Amino acid sequence: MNLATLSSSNPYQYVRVCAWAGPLVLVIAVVFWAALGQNIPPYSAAMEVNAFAEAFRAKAHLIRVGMVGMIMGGVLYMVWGLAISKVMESIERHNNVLSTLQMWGAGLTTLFFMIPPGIWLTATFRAESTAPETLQLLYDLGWMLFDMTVPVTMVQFAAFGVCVLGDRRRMPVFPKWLGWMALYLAGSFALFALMPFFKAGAFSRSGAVNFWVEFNLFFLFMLLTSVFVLRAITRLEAEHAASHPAS
Amino acid sequence: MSSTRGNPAAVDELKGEGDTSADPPAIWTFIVLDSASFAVFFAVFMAERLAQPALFDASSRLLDVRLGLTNTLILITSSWLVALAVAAGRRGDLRRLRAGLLGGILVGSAFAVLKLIEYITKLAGGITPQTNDFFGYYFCLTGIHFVHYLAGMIVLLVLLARARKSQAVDPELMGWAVSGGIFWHLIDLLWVFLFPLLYLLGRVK
Amino acid sequence: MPAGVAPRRLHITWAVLVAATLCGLSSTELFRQPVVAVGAILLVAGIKAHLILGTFMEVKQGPTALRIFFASWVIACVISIVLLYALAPAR
Repeated sequence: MNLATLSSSNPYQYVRVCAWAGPLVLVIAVVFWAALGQNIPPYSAAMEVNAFAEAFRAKAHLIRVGMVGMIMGGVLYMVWGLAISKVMESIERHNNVLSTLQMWGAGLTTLFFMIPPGIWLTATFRAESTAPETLQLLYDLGWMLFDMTVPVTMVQFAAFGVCVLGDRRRMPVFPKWLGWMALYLAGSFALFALMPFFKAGAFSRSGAVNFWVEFNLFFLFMLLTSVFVLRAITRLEAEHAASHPAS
Repeated sequence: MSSTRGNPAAVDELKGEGDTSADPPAIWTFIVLDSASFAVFFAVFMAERLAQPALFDASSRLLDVRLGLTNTLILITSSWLVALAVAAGRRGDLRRLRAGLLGGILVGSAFAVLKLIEYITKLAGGITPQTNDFFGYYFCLTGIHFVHYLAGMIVLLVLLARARKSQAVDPELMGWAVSGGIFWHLIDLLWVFLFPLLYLLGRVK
Repeated sequence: MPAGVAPRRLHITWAVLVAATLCGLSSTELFRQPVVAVGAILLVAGIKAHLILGTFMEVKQGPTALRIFFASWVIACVISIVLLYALAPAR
């Protein structure tokens, strides 16, 4: 059985629970933010304002439920970030800069799982009596904040990637390719900077690159990282137990 | 896989499980994702061209094909020198490893000079990303490529600094040289498609 | 560590890449049919990409999955560009 239970201390207590927050917030994002929130894909920035208002009002009751769910569940992203940092600490040799940056990145990213949904939620609140231009403005505002605050997530992923690649163990805690994937995502998120310049096309908020590619890769990365964090915890607990036998 | 099943011997895994130096470098994950993104960018550019081919071709002819051609030859040559450096490193020839990296950097830096000349003359001539869809994509795609190029130059400079500090070619230096070389070739590889896409298609009569 | 590529092979690859670049450029003038010219230009680009991948990046000595991915990548890039060019309305 788990040797950790035999030893006197377990530095990974609660970490596993925190790691499961990752898959959980992923499910919440897909169900509430994406599906109920009508974000597969989001309304195009190229839509004519009255057509947009009509489409938005028709789904406002669903979007409202979706955004409430996302705001209530979004905090789990921070909880997940802590689990990643705890595992990263086992890789760090000199100081805890990278795990700390990762934690701050995850913590601040959490805000953007709450603030933009709050703005979209506001748009649904009086959707029938709000002017079409105002509805569109609120919707745009939510998306500007959601996409353009991505640097905090870039810091999170870059810190994780650098840490994974710096792992000196012969059998690394995380596979190196996951580190490269994190670095790729951190870099490719810079493409969101193109979003404000396009109302249609691949780089617009609902486009092939800045919606379909970026969000699917982001979600895939969350899933993969969660799997490898959970595996790493099992291994690190066993290593800790083996080097700290119960007295 | 990292399952240790609570085996006390698990700690030994710290020290290793077989030699991994024969495996392909992990940077391939990055290269695969990045080149897949560029395949999407190429298709996006061509799909946008469908709506306004005449505008795209006329705009393409405003680009200086000599600059694009020279930059292609610069990247190919720089890539070749870096490949020679890596090959020398594998033979344990530190002197040629350093020389190849230095050559790759010197030749490669000309790319930035020409690219900046091109950007500046375009902007001075009143052509900006907002001019039309062609130039929007021209600046986006070459800009994204240029960011890769800058990252690649930094990688080569770091490798050269590391190689100058070393007394001999050690496996760690070689590991980074192989990965850094692959990244540098990626910049060449992507330009091989960007050059015809942006400069040549519009010139076909 | 893989044996690597012999310098002579790298020299030949470089020379072929330079020659192919010039061929690709002259294809803009050589053909009467625009689609044929674009096909030729992209074919040359595909060959160049294949050479850079295979020899400089050492994909040829890499695992099968990598070889298959990049072979398909080159083919997909070439075909999608030529196809989307051919689909555009004639000028």
